[in-house]
Amino acid sequence: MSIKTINIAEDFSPYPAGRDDEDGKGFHGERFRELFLIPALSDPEIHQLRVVLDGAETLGGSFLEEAFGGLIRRGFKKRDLRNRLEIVAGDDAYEIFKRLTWKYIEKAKGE
Amino acid sequence: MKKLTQRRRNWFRMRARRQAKFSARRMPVGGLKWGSHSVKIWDGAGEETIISEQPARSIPSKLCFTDNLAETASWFAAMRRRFLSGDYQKKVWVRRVKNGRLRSIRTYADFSVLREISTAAALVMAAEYDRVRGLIGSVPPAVDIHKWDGRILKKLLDLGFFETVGLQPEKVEPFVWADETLMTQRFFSGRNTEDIGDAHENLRRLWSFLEPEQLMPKDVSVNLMSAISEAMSNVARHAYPPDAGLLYPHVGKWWMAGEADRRTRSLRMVIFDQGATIPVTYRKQTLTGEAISLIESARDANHRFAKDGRIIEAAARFGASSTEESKHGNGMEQMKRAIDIAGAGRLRILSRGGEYIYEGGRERSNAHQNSVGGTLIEWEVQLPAE
Repeated sequence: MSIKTINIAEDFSPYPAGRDDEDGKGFHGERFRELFLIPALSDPEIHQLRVVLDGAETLGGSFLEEAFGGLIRRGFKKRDLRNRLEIVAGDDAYEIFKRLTWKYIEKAKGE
Repeated sequence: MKKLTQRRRNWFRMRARRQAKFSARRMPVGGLKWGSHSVKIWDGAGEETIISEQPARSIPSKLCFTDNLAETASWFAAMRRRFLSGDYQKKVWVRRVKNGRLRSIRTYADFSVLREISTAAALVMAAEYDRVRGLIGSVPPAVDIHKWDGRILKKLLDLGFFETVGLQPEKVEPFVWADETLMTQRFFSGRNTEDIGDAHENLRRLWSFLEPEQLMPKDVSVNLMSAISEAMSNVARHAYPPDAGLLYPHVGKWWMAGEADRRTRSLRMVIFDQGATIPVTYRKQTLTGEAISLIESARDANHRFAKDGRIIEAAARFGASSTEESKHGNGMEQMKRAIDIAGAGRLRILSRGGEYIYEGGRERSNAHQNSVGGTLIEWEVQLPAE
């Protein structure tokens, strides 16, 4: 059992933006979710996933909703995410994005 | 004196009518040109003397969406009609030489009368020319450029207007120093969020022009850039849907410009698209009761865009509809937050005939009779006094 840390800016891109390929072939939410979040949350060895927001230069609502709200649409339970997912905002500048991320998770509806 | 016959009277009447019509056509524009006359065109390579078959077309002396919105929007609407109506793909700007005579154009916009152009208006103009270039492969030549007001020519050169429309080779350097007080970011364009990194670099340099010793506060930077990324995403996802029924063909792009002014200690970023507009796309959603009430509260219902300002305000205040909210990040909310975090500044959105302003935590909206031909979003951030 371990803790895994993903720093969006360092491990993915300092400019995450958009929802999916329709927003461009760049670093969008669907890509982050499928490449980073789902593999980590699906790994039974990882009991806690820390996602660090600090360092990202953009954190648009489209990216955050698709990446994190999209987890609910992909079958993850809100209760499990509350237990296993930690959103880290070390710098106060990112606190608002941390709140936004949890808002998107809470409002998302499973498909 | 011999009495005129009815037939003769009719003949005089018809002649007078024809003459009146003819002299109206020959009215000078800008006090300079009458009827068919020679002009100098510049196509990026060099100047050439040609014939304009008709008088120059009128152009407002001030193109600005703040101080002269009606005239500016109306002139751009006429420009779009001229460029893109009918069989636009076969359009030839300069006709070929026949029998050794000079080449000719039908008419042209007389830019020599233009005395002021705002960055936003210049951006919209560049976008119109860029669209024409994308659809037809060429743009109308610049006419009598030596007679243009020096400040106008300098501003358009600084903003990279001539590079954007293909009349000058593209420069690698994205910025210019217009003078010691103003830094201008050259126009750049894209289709989605892929260019967000370039936009950030531009913002960072504009800021350091105002505050060389101090980095842009992280909260201001991330919120402003996130708002810009949402605007780019909106263009990619919503501005150009296949069923939008747009009045003119499009090239699926956004265009962006920015400037930093040391005199006012302000920083401005502008993004424009020629898409379906917020009043059109927002009305297609299932709206909440409070959004409908706000839209219907539009008092002036005398023109077709009368509710547009309220529609943008409803989109900004209430966001996506309740049924779609779960899968929609509220981009407009982030656009407003960028101004809140900055402390002082203004968000202004012009979309079709609507105008929405968010300033000092307060919202207001207006409706105008003329469409801006898309959506123009402008963030103005005011830095504290030194």
